[in-house]
Amino acid sequence: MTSSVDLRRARQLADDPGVFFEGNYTKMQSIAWEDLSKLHLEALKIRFEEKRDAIPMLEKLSNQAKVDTLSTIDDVVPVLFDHTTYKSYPNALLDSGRFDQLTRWLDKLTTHDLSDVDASHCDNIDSWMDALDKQTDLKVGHSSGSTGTMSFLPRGAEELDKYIRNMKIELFQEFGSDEVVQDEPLNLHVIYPFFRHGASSHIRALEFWVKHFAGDEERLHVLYPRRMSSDVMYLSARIQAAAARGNLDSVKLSDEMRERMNEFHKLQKELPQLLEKYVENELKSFAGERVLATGPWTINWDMAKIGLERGMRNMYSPDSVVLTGGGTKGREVPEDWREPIREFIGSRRIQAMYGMTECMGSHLLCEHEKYHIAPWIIPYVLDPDTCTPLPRTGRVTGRAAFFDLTAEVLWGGFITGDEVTINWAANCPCGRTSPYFDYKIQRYKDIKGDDKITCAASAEAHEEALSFLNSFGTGR
Amino acid sequence: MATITGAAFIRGEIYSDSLVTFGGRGGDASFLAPDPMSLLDHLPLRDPGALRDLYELKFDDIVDYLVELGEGLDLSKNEFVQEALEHSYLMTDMTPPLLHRQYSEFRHIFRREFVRQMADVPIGIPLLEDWQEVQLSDGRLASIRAMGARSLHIVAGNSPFVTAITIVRNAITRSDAIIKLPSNDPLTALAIARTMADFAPDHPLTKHLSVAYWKGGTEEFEQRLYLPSNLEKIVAWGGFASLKHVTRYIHPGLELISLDPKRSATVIGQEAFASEASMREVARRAASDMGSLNQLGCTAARVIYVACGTGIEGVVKLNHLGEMIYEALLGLPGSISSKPKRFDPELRDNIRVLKSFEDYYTVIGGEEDEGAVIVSHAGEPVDFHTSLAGRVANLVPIDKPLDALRGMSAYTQTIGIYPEALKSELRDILPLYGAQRMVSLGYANTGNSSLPQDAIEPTRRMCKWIVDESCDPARIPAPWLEN
Repeated sequence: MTSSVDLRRARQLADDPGVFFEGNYTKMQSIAWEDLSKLHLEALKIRFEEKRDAIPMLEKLSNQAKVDTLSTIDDVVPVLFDHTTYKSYPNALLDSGRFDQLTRWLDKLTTHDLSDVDASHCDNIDSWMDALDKQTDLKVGHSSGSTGTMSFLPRGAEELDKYIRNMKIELFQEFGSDEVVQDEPLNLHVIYPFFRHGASSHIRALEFWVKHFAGDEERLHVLYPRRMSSDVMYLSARIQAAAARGNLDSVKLSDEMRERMNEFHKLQKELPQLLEKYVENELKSFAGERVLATGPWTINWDMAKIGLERGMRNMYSPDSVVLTGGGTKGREVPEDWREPIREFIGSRRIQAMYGMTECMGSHLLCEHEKYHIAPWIIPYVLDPDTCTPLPRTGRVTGRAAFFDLTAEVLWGGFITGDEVTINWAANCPCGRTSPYFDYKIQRYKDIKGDDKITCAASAEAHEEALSFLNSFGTGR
Repeated sequence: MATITGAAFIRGEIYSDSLVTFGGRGGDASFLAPDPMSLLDHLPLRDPGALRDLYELKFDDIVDYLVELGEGLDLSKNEFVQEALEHSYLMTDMTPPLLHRQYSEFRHIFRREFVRQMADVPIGIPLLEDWQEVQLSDGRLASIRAMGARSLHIVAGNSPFVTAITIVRNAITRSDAIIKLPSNDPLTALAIARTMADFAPDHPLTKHLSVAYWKGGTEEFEQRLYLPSNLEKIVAWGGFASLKHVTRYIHPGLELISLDPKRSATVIGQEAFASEASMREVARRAASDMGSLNQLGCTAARVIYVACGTGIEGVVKLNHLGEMIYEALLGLPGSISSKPKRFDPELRDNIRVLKSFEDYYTVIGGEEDEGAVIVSHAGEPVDFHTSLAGRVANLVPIDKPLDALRGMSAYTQTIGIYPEALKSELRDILPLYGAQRMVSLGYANTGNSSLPQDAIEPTRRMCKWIVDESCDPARIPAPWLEN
């Protein structure tokens, strides 16, 4: 039997983990896993009950899988959404600008009722995002679309706010400290070498970076103060994909789009000079202060190189944090990529994490190179072929899936395409009590067979060709 | 997981020492093969003059040898082939009945009329046999001969036929072949080589075949082997990754013959819907194009464009055709097509997700990895069409056959076409957009290796084309006599 106290606590864990853990990272990572698991189950039941009939796609999946109630933590597995769900619309809808239909598609993935949204006037992604912003409370974020398909993820302002507040607790406390992170902003400088505005999932959270980290727009230092066009992002990926296939003509561009693409290419070409200016002027202007720097490792690495070449060393306060990571994007990762960044920023904390936009929690890497699970995220490891849950004991390798208890406007259950090894024993020498993932995480699509040669072109061949082409387009 | 013991074969000699373990990822068996570094001193044919023994053979001697080899490869009698088959079950993506059939049939490549055709159609036997004179209009008498080369073959492992074709092409061009084994078929070439050593240990053709395994991209090994002093040609099948390793070694004097990885498609005209009977016929043929060899080959149909119209009526007709194709797929005999041995988990997820969006797609089958037909309601393939495999086809409605052009690219190989008359309508246009082979619907996965492949003629390219020019100053102005 579950006591009412447990139910209340379970709801609090799901609704606001920051409050549940009293703003303290040590508490987040010290709760006994057994106790947490009990709360997980109760919170999961609450979420399933709330969302089952509120999200059409979930309702459908639950009916298909005949899942009506949950009695164990694994019962939810048949109704977790696959990572391809948020890009499951036919590409033709996007290419031919049928945004009314795309709205109907999106409607199936969120608790919000989008049936009254009028997208008939939208003629590109940017205007569709504007229409959704205006007519709904959602903040729909999209992926980079680098493989030629863009995913669209519905989010609410409130959940994004909490997400960044929780990140503040995770990032700015040492494990073991009993400090409490307050609600007030940290008033540090945020180095964000990207666009200020736009609808990519990452940029969507930026206003909460200002709210919780920078405290003031003035302390947010972006590379491009303008809006990033979602269409330009999508089209450049489409063009690169078409170029790799050798049918560039299949991408039809309006005159306006062509103009915007040209602008974008100009911007890309000027990136090295722009980055130099950014480092020399902007980044110098707040030397000695505490900073939070973020962005893919490539651009952080480039910035650090520029700075170091100009004698800029240990630029900021030692309690600064660099949050970086991301794919290799066609560039080889140098063995010591952290070093120049560390030297330039002057911070000992180059924080790596395992996370994804579909989950609002960051699994931080500890000093023993293990990713510790954020306590409001329920981890699953599934059989990669059958997607059935593997035992929750010992050390298990399989496909990662998560349930994000803090998700409000979408379903928190999500199956990744990643192979992970989890240690359920939760006995990391760092002292954190959460189960943890080994450092090595790879995408399943990257590990199929070794040196197998077939005459049939695979999707990987496409992707490889794509990243090969892309490697000419980036880098200094 | 099982471990299989392999060996290397170098010009008649078996090497089975210094074994190291390879493979074993993704649920495959691992296998033992000699450390490639230990083979480096023996593998390349450093003296190009050593090819001379092949020129002591008549073309008919070569044919006789290959015919005898083919007879010797009879699965019911040959222990090497039996053993390779048995172990290959653990290495291949094919199901046992499929592999068994491939193993029973690959020896037919060595039949007399086949071998002669493989030389005669792309090159012409006389040019392979001797110097052929051509009198040219400038007064020059030229003699041309197609001669052999020292070649490395990076073969595809999705069918043992690839290895068999390579061995025939090597013999008829009087070349020296080193076959780099693929990890998905490390045994076929070895079984053939052993059979050769068994019945003709000292024959020049036996002495000009080597077979070894190393992991593609093993730098310290490849940079010492892939040198113009060791090799003149590299014939590379398959993957961008394997090709990328190779291209860095291509210098003047070392030529790359690239048989790029491809995908194939289908174009079906509105005639398919003439009657229930014609639909059924088309469905059976389309199922054969997508299902044969479990869609493992480059020739297998994946996206099927159907000129049923893009309106609602068209989609209704297409769904009906889709049902028929699915039914026909399940009816194919097990030795042609069977439930795949493994199914790409990502593709499975993609299919699962589409099932929830029936406004846009109809998914027929795909319940237990047996294969599926996905009908797109909009006139576009699914966005994961590059991953279609394991007997999954995507039917796409179009208004007219030429609308299929937007799906063609440099990756397109075979186009199965129905009806026959549509082929002559499309054949001047499809190639401009990438298609390389057009074939009657239902025959995509059958083929004849004497024809061009991937828009090139690999056998011709494997030869060195040598000329001897005789010039008489009385007939051709002599540069040194000019004022």
